[in-house]
Amino acid sequence: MDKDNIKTVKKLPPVMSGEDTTIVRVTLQDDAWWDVPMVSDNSDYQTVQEWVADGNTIAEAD
Amino acid sequence: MALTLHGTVADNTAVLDRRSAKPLIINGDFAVAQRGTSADGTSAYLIDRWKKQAATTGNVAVSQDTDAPTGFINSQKMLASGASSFFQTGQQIEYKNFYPLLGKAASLSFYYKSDVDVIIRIRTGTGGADSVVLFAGSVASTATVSPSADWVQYVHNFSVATNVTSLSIEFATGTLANTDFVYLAGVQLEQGTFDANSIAPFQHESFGDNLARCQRYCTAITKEANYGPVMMAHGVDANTARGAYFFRTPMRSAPSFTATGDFIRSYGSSTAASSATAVSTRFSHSIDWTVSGAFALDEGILITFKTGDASLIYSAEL
Repeated sequence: MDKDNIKTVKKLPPVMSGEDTTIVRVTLQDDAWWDVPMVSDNSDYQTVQEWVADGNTIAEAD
Repeated sequence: MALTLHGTVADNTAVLDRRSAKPLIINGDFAVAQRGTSADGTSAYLIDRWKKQAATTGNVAVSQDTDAPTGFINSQKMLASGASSFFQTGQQIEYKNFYPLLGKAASLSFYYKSDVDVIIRIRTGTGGADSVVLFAGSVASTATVSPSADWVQYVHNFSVATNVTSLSIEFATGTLANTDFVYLAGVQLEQGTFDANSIAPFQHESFGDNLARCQRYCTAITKEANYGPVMMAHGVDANTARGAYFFRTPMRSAPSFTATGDFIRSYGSSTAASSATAVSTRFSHSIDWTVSGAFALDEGILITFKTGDASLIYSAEL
């Protein structure tokens, strides 16, 4: 996943109510999507963190 | 049992002295292609463990090909259909696999044929282990080989510094024009300094062994038959069923996930379900399948493919 190809990032609802979200949905410029776990050794999540460091924001879950 | 040696003393020393029981380059024979066998130059993985990227994505086609040097049955082919200022492909090697090379000389061997120069780049990083350096890290070693109309083997020698924590091997081109091509096959990485005469033979693995090693980084479940089973699930409520897939090979990290095509419950509804990850771990992954009014709480459900092309892709690439 390339940082420049990310269109939006949004948290998915937690698997159990009251728990923290552990997955974000990344939508790419061509509208393809990836569900990315929020773990440091996932290279896609590393890319999301770089995208956020550039000033972008992860949307909250519905 | 008699041990028969062939070739020169150096040839036999190279084989007997090999430090790794398995190839350091995974899928170096380009045999495994879980995601498909052809794509454009968009920056993404196609053949397992091999990422590709072109400057002008639509002008470059990448595919698994059967044109291969003697002793191989597959190669990776890049064919330009128009201009592109570059094409590159490569593989980042996991730290847990390459650390025996630290502070050592290494040799990258490969077969190629092309009508353009092929640039070899060894990229390294010294930050966190397995930080992404593919197409992006510092170039520690490079060389350029001239076009060759026929398959030829080339060996590039380099050394790996003791503080390296990320390592990738890459092949690139300069500016491409219509019909330019590059084929790659038989990529191998060995500890030590060798040339094409002295390097050990390519370590062929069984297809199953190769696939299992690739599945640490990508697991793809692709439709082979209409209504083929995908996973068991249970109803969470009237609109959602939660199913799980258990990886035969634990993945390198909790994987990213995407789905393409249509999936349905096996009985009583042909409305395609949308999917969203519930939990992702190295060992298993659960999905919430959503269709309005299709399920009931605690109902057991089989999720199947529908009739069109479809796949589940789990990715834990570096």
